[in-house]
Amino acid sequence: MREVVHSAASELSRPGSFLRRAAGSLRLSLAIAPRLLRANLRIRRRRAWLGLAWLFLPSAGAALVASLLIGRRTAEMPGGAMPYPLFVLAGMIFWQLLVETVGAPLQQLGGARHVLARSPVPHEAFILAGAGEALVAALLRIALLGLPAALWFGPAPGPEALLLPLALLGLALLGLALGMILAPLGLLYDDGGSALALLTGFWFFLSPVLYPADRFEALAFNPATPLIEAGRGLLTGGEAPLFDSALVAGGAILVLASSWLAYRLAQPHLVARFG
Amino acid sequence: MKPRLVADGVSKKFCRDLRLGLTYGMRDIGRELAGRGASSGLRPGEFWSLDNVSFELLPGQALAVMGANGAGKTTLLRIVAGLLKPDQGEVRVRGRISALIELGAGLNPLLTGRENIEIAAALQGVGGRALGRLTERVLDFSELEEVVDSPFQSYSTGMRARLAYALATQIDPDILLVDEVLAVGDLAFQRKCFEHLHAFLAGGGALLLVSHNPYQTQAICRSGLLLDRGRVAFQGSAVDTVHHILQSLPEDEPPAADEGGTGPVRISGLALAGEGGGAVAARAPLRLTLSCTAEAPVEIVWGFSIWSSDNNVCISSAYDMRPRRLGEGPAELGCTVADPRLVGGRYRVRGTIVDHATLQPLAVHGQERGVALDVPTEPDLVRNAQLRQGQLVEIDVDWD
Repeated sequence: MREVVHSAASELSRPGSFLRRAAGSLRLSLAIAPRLLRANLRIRRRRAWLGLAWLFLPSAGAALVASLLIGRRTAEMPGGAMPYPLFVLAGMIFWQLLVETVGAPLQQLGGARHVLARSPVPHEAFILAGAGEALVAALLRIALLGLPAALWFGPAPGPEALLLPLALLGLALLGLALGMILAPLGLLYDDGGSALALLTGFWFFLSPVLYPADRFEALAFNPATPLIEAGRGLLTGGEAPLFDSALVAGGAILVLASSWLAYRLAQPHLVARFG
Repeated sequence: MKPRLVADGVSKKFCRDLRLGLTYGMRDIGRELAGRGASSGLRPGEFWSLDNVSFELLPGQALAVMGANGAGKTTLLRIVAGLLKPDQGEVRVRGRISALIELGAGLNPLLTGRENIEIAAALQGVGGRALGRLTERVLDFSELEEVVDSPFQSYSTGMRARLAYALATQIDPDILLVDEVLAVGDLAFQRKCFEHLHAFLAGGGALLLVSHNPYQTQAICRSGLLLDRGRVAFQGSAVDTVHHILQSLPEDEPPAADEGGTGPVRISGLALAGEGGGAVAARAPLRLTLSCTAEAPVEIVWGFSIWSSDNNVCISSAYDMRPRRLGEGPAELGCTVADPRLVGGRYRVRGTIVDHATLQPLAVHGQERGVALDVPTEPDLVRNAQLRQGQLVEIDVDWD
């Protein structure tokens, strides 16, 4: 029977044990997250009259408003040959996934604060369930809004659309990586959540959602740009910067791994202040 | 036999100031990321919630952790569960831990009982076929088959307690941490929990039980640990620990002002002693000696009364109604009570001298406070129960 030691020394003083426990917790969380995800979806369905429709209604609404307000007034804004409503809708679907995965760690851990303070359960399970919920929502948006819109406006998506899950995964990884960096601060101070809302507001206008990536130079410095562009391209049969997207996703994995391990080190100090 | 759990000099500090506490939290996270351990001393606004606590828990052993609110009991359980990191010392754990720190923590009110079982089991690493078996056992133990598919929010408090207890215990932990949750639920369920805990201990499990209920702790635990503001105030058998708590319960001290009369007789003292002038003992003769001084010859009667420690209940009194003549000067009046029948604890005794002719009190010793009478007692289950229920006297019974 393996002995577990909880001591005042830093976890980094026993790196082998720290990494073993982190890996064990991740393995367990991967098994738990689907159950938590199902439970979250059930709760969402039971608590709201429109249930799961809320997973894609905001995207549809935002795309509609943007198309009506911006598309009509600014004839030169739309991206190339693609009809502007489709351009905005596709961009919005991928942008929303990014925003939801950035907020998932803080939202999920904050919501489970009471449990985490009283039960020795893996925190990662809640984060993964939150990311899973964002991915399910994105898939629903693609199936119920994106694909019908792409078929309506034409041309129909080609076989490259099969790569869409990879684009979604890349965006989710990037979102989670950034969300995990912010989570410890946001769990201690409420400023974290407020600052996140403010930053995503700015970030939205630096992302190729309402206008194409080549419209402004600043968009090139946004790591989400190639991923959103790739997603939109795959969905609408347009250009998809897959190489750049893979580079960003690779970087996101490294950042996510580092921020996750940092979170594990911070975990007991956060739980001590959960009350 | 290797211990399941060893706590060695465990200390944990918290900060009373929320904002300062969050700042310390950021600093502690920074230290952790830099590979440095916890800061050693107290920073401004901090206090030791646990201070140098050590104990061992062997397989089959149950330790009762007792103490007033804020003594550090739950903090200790949270450290053992791995939720918190000690600031000093270490905890070594061998085996799977299940913590029942708060009933219903983690159970979602919008999910059904069955769905909650599934989630709770998954969080403990139980899945696949084991989940089906666990669900059966939980339902069997909690007796909630009829409502298992109803939302958890429709459950009564007792039903919630049954489900939470069953979930925590049916996953076969090696170490069970239970924090003040056995009081919930009806008598039948409490009895079931007791039986389960005894079976769990007999099977080699180890139990750390936090409870304010002395009956529960003595019935389940052999060992006890009393915490007082984070420090170990007493460590021994559970019975001794309960006895220590009950003996040291604070009393409402009556005012210190005391008088022995203003004349013509003054009582200068009331001495209490055991048999042969030795220490007072339970169910043994008690000798009372009243010292007084008369300013002039006077004919008196005298007596005494025994009161509860809070001076609210007169347990017994006795008066020698035969007239006595006191000459001018000091005198002593004495008597022996063959068996005061007092159970262990503290009492107060008042002495009274009354004028024989008018029956007017001439002097009362201990009118306000009384002389303390401490009746010692040996700790055992019955004595602790007597102390707990505030019993004062003991009757002799010939049982059939």
